[in-house]
Amino acid sequence: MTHHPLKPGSDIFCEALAQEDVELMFGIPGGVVVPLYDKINKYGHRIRHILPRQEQGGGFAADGYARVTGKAGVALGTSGPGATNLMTSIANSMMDSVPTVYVTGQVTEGLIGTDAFQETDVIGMTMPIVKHSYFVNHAQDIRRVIKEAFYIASTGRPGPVHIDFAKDAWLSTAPDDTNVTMDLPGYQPIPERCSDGDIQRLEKLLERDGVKPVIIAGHGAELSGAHHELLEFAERHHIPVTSTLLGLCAFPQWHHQWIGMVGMHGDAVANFTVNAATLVISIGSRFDDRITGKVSAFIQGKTFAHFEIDPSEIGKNVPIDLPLSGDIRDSLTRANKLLSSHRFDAWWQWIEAQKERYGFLDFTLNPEKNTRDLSQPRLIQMLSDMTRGEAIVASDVGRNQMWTARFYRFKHPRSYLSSGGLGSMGYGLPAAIGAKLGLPEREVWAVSGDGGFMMNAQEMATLMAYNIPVKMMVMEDGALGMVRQWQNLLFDKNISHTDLKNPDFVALAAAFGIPAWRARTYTEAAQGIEKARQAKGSALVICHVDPDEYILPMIPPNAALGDQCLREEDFKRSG
Amino acid sequence: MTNIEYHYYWLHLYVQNGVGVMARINVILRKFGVNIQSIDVSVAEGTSAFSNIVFDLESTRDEHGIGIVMRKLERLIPVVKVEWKKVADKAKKTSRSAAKEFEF
Repeated sequence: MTHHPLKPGSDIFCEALAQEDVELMFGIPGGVVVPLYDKINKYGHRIRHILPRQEQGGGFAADGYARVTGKAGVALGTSGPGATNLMTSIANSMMDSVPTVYVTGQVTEGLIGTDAFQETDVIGMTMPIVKHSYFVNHAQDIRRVIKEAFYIASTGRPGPVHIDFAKDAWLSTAPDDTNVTMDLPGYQPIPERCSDGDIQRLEKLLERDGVKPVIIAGHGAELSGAHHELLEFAERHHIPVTSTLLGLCAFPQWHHQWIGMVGMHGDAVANFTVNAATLVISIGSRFDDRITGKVSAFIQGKTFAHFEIDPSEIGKNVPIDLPLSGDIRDSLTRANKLLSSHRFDAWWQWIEAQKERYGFLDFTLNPEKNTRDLSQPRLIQMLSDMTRGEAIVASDVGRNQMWTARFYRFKHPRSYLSSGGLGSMGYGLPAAIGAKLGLPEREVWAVSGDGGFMMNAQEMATLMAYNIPVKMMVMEDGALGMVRQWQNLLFDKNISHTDLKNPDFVALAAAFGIPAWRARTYTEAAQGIEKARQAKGSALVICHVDPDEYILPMIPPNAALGDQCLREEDFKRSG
Repeated sequence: MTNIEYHYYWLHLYVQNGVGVMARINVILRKFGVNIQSIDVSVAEGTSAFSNIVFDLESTRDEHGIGIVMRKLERLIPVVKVEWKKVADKAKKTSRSAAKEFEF
């Protein structure tokens, strides 16, 4: 009989994390996790602990770390407010299928249900927004739970797992079996795998007379690591490829078959192409409402094939004619062996004509409205050119997010971080922190609007404390720009509570010891970006941008892709 | 007075026996607006590690729609097996007749 040493739960926890190859965690200590923090320094040589200034910042940082590395990010908060502050981060990871483990402290078991100090039913709160959750009240369960949590978070369709530890767990002791087995009879990471016969049915769809195929590459293609397989598939069949917001790095943007981003604020050519397509091949995209617009119009005259690891996504939003469930990389590898190649020259001629007519990856639809303020797409293109598309960019949410997605030409996979499904402002800066710590050799930029930047600006203290060289760009327009755009275009210019009175961002950054430059001209912007890049540590460039530079095209709510508004006048016509 | 068409389903779940499993299932059912009309839970024969839960469900979702709900249930970690079928549609009920049914 093997003798396992008796250890306190706090030690078992740290060692279990190390066994899962965790190198980094973001956490803020509090009452019920002090016994854990009493041990964390002991394991500092294996696990680096970063102290953010708000748990949400730590959660977003763990999320950003996970997106760039592919490894599960770890964030920790104490009970009560520490745990509730993590809610947005958890929901964000869930919506975007990011592998993360969120750890919260809980009051001792004897106090649960007494409305004790800093007691909240956080397991109850996170149930709808996690892949799975655990409550642990004794050291004997820690090894198994940690092993299961990381396995669940990282396999199949990734997602957040939440573990709530009662204080008893840290203080109790148990024999520590490092070879613990998991107990997950109900969990199948890949519940279904499409057959070769299913894949071969795709050939019939591609050979239909006059078929007009398009590939929508989504986040699933990136998560699966199927970049080469997707490229081979697209090239084999000469199919135009569009990306969703989170699929932007799944297919090389420099490739002649890439037609831009699809969706509510996507490229005109991509939207018109998807609208006209008769065969839509979704590869890891879930047909989110931002992509489809009005669903009844979207599905008209189209056949749908769906490569997807999560069977519950197939048929959820649009009816699927050919479900191709399973790991995307595996499915595409088989498809590349089984299917013969195709060409669609007439279809490409039509697409090229759209590029001529509407412009492609340029400013045809986005002329500058005034010469007083800077234009955001031009600034993003400048940043893209100056960094040669090599940087990791974490954008916030709003117009800055859409401009970054449209005009930064990402060269590498896993380089664009954005709160896609949840759309949480304040994501940019903390996510960039996580990305920089995960891949320190890469240049990392956080692009935010002034609204989103202020939501987690406190994390500049984290940059300062740990000398994390994140470069920041703030698009200052004195407004919650995206909401303002909706008010202007869809609510008769009734501006309601979207004006922002900002602090002096240069002075604010200086308070954190971060150099900052203000840009009111493109020359100043270029100089600011260059100085920021040359700075050894963090740096900030504040660009004064046009508050009424609308992000266009835009598909109004409940409109079809083909009814996208290309100009401001189109909104009046659309009613 | 609103005419609402309901569909009725029978659902059997084979699940791990533990605290919070029913809560997780109900999160899904509530999210998709599925009403539980009856529920029966028992520990599985021969093992206390698993339970059988049988539901009678009412929903405005048709079979395609309820299929989506069932696939979400399949994704729950403690759920080992899902079986379901549509049972005979009951008559359409109006909100007024439904209220009358429960007049005291």
